[in-house]
Amino acid sequence: MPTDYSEEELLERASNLDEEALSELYDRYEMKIYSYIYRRTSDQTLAEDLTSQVFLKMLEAIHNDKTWHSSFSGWLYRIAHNLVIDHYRTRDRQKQISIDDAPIMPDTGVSPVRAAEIALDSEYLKSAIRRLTDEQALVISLRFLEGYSFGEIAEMMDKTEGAVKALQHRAVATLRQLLVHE
Amino acid sequence: MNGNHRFPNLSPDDVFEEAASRLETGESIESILASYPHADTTELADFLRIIQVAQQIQHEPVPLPSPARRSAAKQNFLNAAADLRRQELAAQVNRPARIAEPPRRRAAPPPAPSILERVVGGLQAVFSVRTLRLAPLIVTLALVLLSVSTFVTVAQSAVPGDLTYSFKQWMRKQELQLAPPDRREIVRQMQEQEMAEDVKKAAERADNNSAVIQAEDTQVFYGRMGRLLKIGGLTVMDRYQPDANVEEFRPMEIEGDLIPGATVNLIYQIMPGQSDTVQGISLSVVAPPAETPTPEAPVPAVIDVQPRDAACTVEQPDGWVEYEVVPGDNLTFLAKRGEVAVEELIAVNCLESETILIGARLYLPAEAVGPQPAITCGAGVPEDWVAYEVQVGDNLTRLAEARGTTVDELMAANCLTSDTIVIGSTLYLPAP
Repeated sequence: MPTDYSEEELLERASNLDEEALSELYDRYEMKIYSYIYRRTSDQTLAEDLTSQVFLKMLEAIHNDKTWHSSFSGWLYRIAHNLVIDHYRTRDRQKQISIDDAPIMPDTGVSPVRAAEIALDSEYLKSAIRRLTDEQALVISLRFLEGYSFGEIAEMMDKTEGAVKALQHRAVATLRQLLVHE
Repeated sequence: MNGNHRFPNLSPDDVFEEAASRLETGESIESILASYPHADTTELADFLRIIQVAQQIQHEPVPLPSPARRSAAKQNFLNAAADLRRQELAAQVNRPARIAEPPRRRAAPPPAPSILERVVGGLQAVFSVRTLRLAPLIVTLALVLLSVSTFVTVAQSAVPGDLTYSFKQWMRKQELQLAPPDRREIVRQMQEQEMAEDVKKAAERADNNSAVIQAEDTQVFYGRMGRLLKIGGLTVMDRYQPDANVEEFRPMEIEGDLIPGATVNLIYQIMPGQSDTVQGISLSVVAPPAETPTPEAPVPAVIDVQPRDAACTVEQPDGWVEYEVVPGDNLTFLAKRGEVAVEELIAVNCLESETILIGARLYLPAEAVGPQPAITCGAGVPEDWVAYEVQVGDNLTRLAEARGTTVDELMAANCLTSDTIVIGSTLYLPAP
């Protein structure tokens, strides 16, 4: 049963473990987080499982006084992102490479456009997004997979618009490197 | 990405953002690229293709999560929140009191004792009740103190365990002896009631940290049933615990021919919080029953060996067995176990109230006494089980499933009384 509380009031009450507020926040964000994780993983069961973990992590954070500083939704998406990354890291440790180890696009003389075209497939892209740094992955996912506006992302990530702009540009450049290489 | 573009004031980041926004509005990549003739169009084209694929992902349908799992997940979340609330509440209760908050369990400081009370307190430390009667000096002192009306007031409110209680007993004796013979029995009954009240007050006043209170009195023995003796206003168990913290009893020493109506000198102890009954330490008969039968005094809750009410005699019904009342028993519980009515237990055992005393012997249906369902809690944790710290989101059902056991087994092995578990607590589970 939705209440008339503003998001701010809800968050205040939720941080005191108020059941009603927690329940409503859960309802407000559950599908968003689920969709976010599903789009990153294409796995319904995994998305369901990780979504519930996101909310339990939220409780754990409230309990340990390590909650959101500015944007609750940005904080929640960040938890979701971390869980997605953790999941793949655990599942497929050998295949994972961190962004630092990501190969620089070799100058093979092959047209990048062509190379990218060959590699461009949604699963490849999802896999490549998982290899971005956390912030790059978050900004790319929120902007292009979830359709949040630029300003919303800046608020969610507690960054200036200029910083987000630079971040997404770098992220796409990294994706290009990864995809062309693959 | 460092290419020139038509707006020299736009950084490459701005160019990319602008191009991406245009792509989102549905503009074609070719058309967008044409707008940035000076940019690195190869790179920008790659970027836009990447974004295009991302947008495809965004518009792909997302299958709805299964309603059952969804609702279970939310319930699990709310349960975990409830666990945390309980945990935080418990932490608050256990947390040392803060600035203005007085410690919860500490009793209010007692009012400052008066001079007289301090004197009495000092005497109490020096003389025990038993030595008192042997010390004429104290009697003299008592007479002096008696002249002070405050002292009489203090003595009147005394209960066993207070030094002044001896004076109260002495005053009662005088009152009884001075009473006209035809009123003496009424006075005695009144005094016996008062005595029972005194014991009750003393037991209630003492908390679990208090020492056991010992006292002595000379009273009439009215009779006994099983372990319980009716002496004056007291119900006395025929045994006592030398150490209040140990459930170990010694029999009360009985000196003389104990027959109803005899006057006896009783040394007894009051267990803190146990207001119904006292424990007899020793008893000696000081006078046999008077030739004229002792007028009857009310005998609440305990039946004489020679019941005055001839209609009620205790007889063992078929299929019933003798049972000794243990701590924690009560008639309702025993009746339920024996599948009989409380009234039946009262009638068969000639009880006068529902109060039963520890150590009393009752007749009960054999079923009430037979072996009870085994309580597995405390039987120990199975050997191959391991300690596990409860995590957020855990519940007994999930843990039982994960470790191939049942909720009941988990509760028994961990001595849980409910299926609520607290995050951070330790449970024993079958090894994974």
